[in-house]
Formats: sequence, structure tokens, C-alpha cells
Amino acid sequence: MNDLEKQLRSAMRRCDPPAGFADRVMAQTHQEAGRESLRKIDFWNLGPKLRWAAIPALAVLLVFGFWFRTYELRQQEKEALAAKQQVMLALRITGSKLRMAKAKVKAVEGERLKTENTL
Amino acid sequence: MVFSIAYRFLRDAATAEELAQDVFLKLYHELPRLESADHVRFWLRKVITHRSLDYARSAYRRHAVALDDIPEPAATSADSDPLLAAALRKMVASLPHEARMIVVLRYEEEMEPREIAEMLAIPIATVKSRLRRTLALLRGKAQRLMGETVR
Amino acid sequence: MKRIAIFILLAGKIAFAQEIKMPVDLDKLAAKASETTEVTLNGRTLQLAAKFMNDEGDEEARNIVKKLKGIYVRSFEFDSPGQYSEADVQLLRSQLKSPIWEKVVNVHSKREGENAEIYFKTDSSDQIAGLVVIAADPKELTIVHIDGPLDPSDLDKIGGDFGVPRVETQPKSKPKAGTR
Repeated sequence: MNDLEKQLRSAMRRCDPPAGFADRVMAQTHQEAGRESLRKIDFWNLGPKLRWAAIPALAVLLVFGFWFRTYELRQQEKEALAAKQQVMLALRITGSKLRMAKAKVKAVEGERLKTENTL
Repeated sequence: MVFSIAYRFLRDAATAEELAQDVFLKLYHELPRLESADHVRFWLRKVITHRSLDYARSAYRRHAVALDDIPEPAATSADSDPLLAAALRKMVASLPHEARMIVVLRYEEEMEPREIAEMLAIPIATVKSRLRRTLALLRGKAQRLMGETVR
Repeated sequence: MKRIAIFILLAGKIAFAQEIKMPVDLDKLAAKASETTEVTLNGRTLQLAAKFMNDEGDEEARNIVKKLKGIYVRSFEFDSPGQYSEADVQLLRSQLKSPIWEKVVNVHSKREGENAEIYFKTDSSDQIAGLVVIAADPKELTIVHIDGPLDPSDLDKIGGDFGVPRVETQPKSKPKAGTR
């Protein structure tokens, strides 16, 4: 495999759907299920062949939904921890600058008082 | 996989999500006819591939969005060379529909030419020749853009 | 429907235009700086971070952060003096001339070349609704913008009360600390 193909693999690698995608799919599926008559989607009304065929497919869908939800939560946690570090860094920088300003104000005030006392 | 194929092909997250949702909804109706996990995966790939191609081919869509209007998705740290990766994605986006889908299926889904041929219902020789021509074209463009670093 | 979406987008842009924006030129300083710190956290990210601030000692920060709409920090350290100019921060200062912003601290130290400016944004009920800090010395420039409600105890926790304790609760009437 040459460089270009490696780069293409990297550039075209699989990307994740936006946050909440699995939830939206599930919600839409539930909505759709509600619209249809129960009889039409009743598992026990499927023919024996179809019933057995539906089991692995349903299992795949369920596993996919569960896996995706777990994955989303893990991603969210990672994002939150990175954000927390950024927040702490921002607060540390802000704190140091506020303390510096406070020290300067105090120094100026001190000098002013000294001058007044001398006078 | 489903979202990713549509997104890499159309470069439009909202449309990709819309198509992916439709495909999952269709899956819900198709479930009784699908026999195994592999069958479900094959079916999902096939349907999203054709839905994406149909969407791109529609005249309205072609005229509605110029390529340059589509924002380049933010580069992520996984790109070994983010600049080249972004340029390649843009170049792939400018390919004709079928060639573009072949690249997506080959390099994003890691599918063999035989599987791509089956999915797109075209001869395997066509897939191979399109891939060769597309790679040559991309290589030329990438070399012009990035210098001689791309072999 | 499309029209509504475009309208919402435009309205959002107009609303944003009324907020403080870090000047684009400021980012060009990163090229000259030997060290750059950039933090951009919007309300959504802050809320997300607050949910995960559960460690010991996080409580105070969490209580501050969960009220905020944004934290933006740009800090540049340079190898030698004179790498940035007054003009680089002037665009930001001009945004702070709006009546809702008040300069509460303005310290210029000729001896050390250190300057510090602190601005408060006040809302209709005279509460602090935002904070901007511009701290500069010959080899460092730091700009902090905290968007959202802060009370004096928050400022104490973050860093200090500027030697004018408690008067920050009524920024309009507070005495200004500062010298030129």
C-alpha cells in the first residue's frame, strides 16, 4: 500500500454520528412502531421462519443501541474531563492576574498613605 | 458505519443524519427478512450507499450546494497530516458520484473491490479501473498541492 | 421553514455581535509568542464540565462555573519585550467602552512596566454579569473574559477582592481603585 492510500485511509476513516443520534433513531423507531398496528409488528404473528429470522436482527439492533449509548456516554465523559481541565486552567490564570492587580492596588495605596503621613 | 458512509460521501452532517435515520427506520421494517448480523450489516451498507448516491444525483441537490460552500469538518488528532487529510477529503468530494462512492467504500469501509462491485452492481473490472484512475488523479492533485511528498 | 432557520441564524449572529469578542489580530500574536494559552469554553461546555467537578476541592469552582455562560482566556508569553503593541488590545478596549462595562481597576507600574485593567459588566440590577482582565507586562499579555454572573465571594475565591471589599456588589457606586 502506498503513501496516498495510507493518507486516504486516514482522511476517510469512519466518523461518529452527532451526539444523540442513537436516541433520535430509537425515538423515531418507537414513534413509527406506535403508528403501525400492533398486529402488523407482533412478533408472535410472524410466520415461524420469519420469527426465527427476526431474532438475530433484533438482537443486533439492541446490541447496537446499547453499545452506541455506552460509547456516547464515554465520549461525553472524556469531553467533560477535558473541559474541566480547561476550566481549572482558566480559573488559575484569572486568579493569578486578579492577585497581581490586587497587590499593585495595595502597593499604590501604601505609597499614597506613606506620602500623606510624611506630609 | 451508516452515518459515516453518508457523511464521507455527502460531506453534510445534517443530510447524512437524515439519511441514516431513514435507513434505520427502514431496517426496522426489514428486520423480519434479515437472517443474520452479517446480513444486517450488508443490508445497511447497501441501502445507505444507494440512498446517498440517489440523494447526490438529484438535480436539486447538485445545484443547491456548491462544493466550496460545504465546510471542511474540523480536523481531528487522528489525521497523520491534517492539512493533507482535509485536502484529500475535498478532492474526493469533487469526484464524480460513482468514483467517490468507490473511494468511500474502499478506504472508509475497507471493502474489497469484489464487495464494492457487488454492492454497486457493476463489474469488478470497472471498480478496479475506476480506483486506479481515481488514485492517479488524486495523486497528481495532492502532489501539486503538497509538493512531492505524496507517493 | 428555511426562512425561519436563516432568521434564527442571523438573530444569533446579531446577538453575538453585542458580546465581547476576542479580536482576531490577537490570535496572530500566537505566532510571535514563545508560549500561548488559549481557553475557549462556552456555556454548554461549562455545564458539562460542572457536572464532572466532583472531586474534593472542586465544589467552590463548580458553584462558580455552573452559573457562567463562557470563559475565554488568551495568554501570550514572549521571549523579548516589544513583541506586542497597544494596538493589539485596543480593539478589545474599544468594546469595553460600552456603558454596561466599568473599569474598576487600572494600575500602571512604570517601574516594572506592569499594567492591569479590570472591567466589570453590570446588569440591570447592578449585579456583576461579566469580568474582563487585561494584564500586561513587557514580555506577557493576558486577557481573560468571564461571561456570566459573579458575586464578590466568587471573586474572593478566584483570586481577590481588589482591596475594595464588598463594594463590587454595587459597581455603579463603587470607588475606583487605580492610578496612572
